[in-house]
Amino acid sequence: MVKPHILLVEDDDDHAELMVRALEVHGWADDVTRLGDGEKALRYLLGDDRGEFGRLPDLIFLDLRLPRVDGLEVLRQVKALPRLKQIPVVVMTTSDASSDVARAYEHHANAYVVKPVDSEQLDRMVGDASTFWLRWNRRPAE
Amino acid sequence: MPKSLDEARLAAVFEAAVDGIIVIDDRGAIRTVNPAGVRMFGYEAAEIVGKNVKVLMPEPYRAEHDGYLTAYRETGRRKIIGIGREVTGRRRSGATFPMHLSVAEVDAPGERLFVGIIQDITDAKEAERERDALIAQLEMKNAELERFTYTVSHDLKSPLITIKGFVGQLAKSIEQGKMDRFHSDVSRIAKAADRMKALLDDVLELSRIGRIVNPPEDIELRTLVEETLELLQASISGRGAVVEVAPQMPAIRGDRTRLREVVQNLVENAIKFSPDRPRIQIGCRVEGNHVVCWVRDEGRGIEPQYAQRIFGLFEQLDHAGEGTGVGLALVKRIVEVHGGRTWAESAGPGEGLTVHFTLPLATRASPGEGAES
Repeated sequence: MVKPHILLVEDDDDHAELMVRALEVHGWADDVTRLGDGEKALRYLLGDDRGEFGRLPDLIFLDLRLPRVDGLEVLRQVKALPRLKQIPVVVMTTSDASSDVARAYEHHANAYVVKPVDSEQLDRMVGDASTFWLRWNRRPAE
Repeated sequence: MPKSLDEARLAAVFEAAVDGIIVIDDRGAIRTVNPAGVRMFGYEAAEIVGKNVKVLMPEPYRAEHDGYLTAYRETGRRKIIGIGREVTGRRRSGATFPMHLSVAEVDAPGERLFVGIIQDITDAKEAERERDALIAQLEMKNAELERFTYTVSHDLKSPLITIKGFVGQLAKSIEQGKMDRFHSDVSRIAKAADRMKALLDDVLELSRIGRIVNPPEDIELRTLVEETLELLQASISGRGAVVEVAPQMPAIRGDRTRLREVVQNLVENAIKFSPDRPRIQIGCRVEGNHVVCWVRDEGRGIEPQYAQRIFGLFEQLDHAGEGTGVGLALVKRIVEVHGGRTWAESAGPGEGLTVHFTLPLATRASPGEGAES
């Protein structure tokens, strides 16, 4: 079976490292691409930067506050494109402002999680979310 | 004809009323007007008695008034009678003013009269406008504060996640004997703590602007720029930067300490985002009663669509650079407290950046003279 491909859009190097380590613990870290801003994420998803054989991610972890193009805009564009919109997008951010949650859902986020401050919880959350979306969830055949 | 006591009392009320009272007939001709009414419109009573009441109205009401009267005479349709509302009056000078008018119909023997009672509500309207402006200003401040709290809490939480996260990793690294990772994680924790400290310091600094105000003074802009560049001498020569300052600059008015921070932040930014040996230009031009200043570099530049975002709190185009993202927010805040505005222009990445800001000109007549101490 092909290893699932995860796209991590996170501008904070430390948070990205913690995420990758959490993915490693749960066995989801074989094919992780990490990008540091929204513009790069869009270029990657729209195909310009993925190379000839690059495949689309099976799961996207998306931070909201990103340099250049923010997470909401990335989300909006992903969900507006038929060939991208089925990719589950888990919005992961430090903000628990209700307006952010509402806007993320308006743009059809598949899930919204507030980054836990506690390291064990962060670990578990990353593992749970990945396991749910990559193992249990079924998407329509392309 | 001797007046009865009742008539005398009525006449006294009419004379003494603070509100204007005007009596017209059903053709609109003014029969009588009390002293308050005369004062309000700036006429002598003799000038307007007998004239059509339209003279006290500006267009288009003036043209429409006959129609109202005719319609009421013929159909009984009321526009104002018995209702009262806000209308516009016209003084003898041609100036208009907001007034509250209530009209009552009087059944006098053999004729139909209308009594209009008028209050000049210019002051009330003015107060209303001021109140609305204040409310709008407060709402804006409130929204700004909300944004501020939101950004601050978000950005302070970020290093906290790093600290807690890597603290949790330390034990694992020891168990697994990964001492290199242990040490690099400790250094991540230390850096995140430093970052929190820097953020808190900057937020504190930002909150002082507008709260702690030095008395405004007239300042020679060129002197201010030169003083600031002296402070920055180490970082300027460290990067081999050349800073060109326009020879002619006017005097401005403001808080010297804060304005020095503006120049300092902009020059530091220009150095930070330029390759070695950068050339930085500082110039200005006078426009009306203010001066438009700019700091231009030939550095990294920015895509034009992000030009305004760089003034947002904690906004950084990439997080690889040093700094907390407060510098330009600080610049914007200081300039706004001085009644000015900020904007940035760039032709695109690699094309350099020009940050503009406006400041009020000095209040004294001719620049160069010493200010009174």
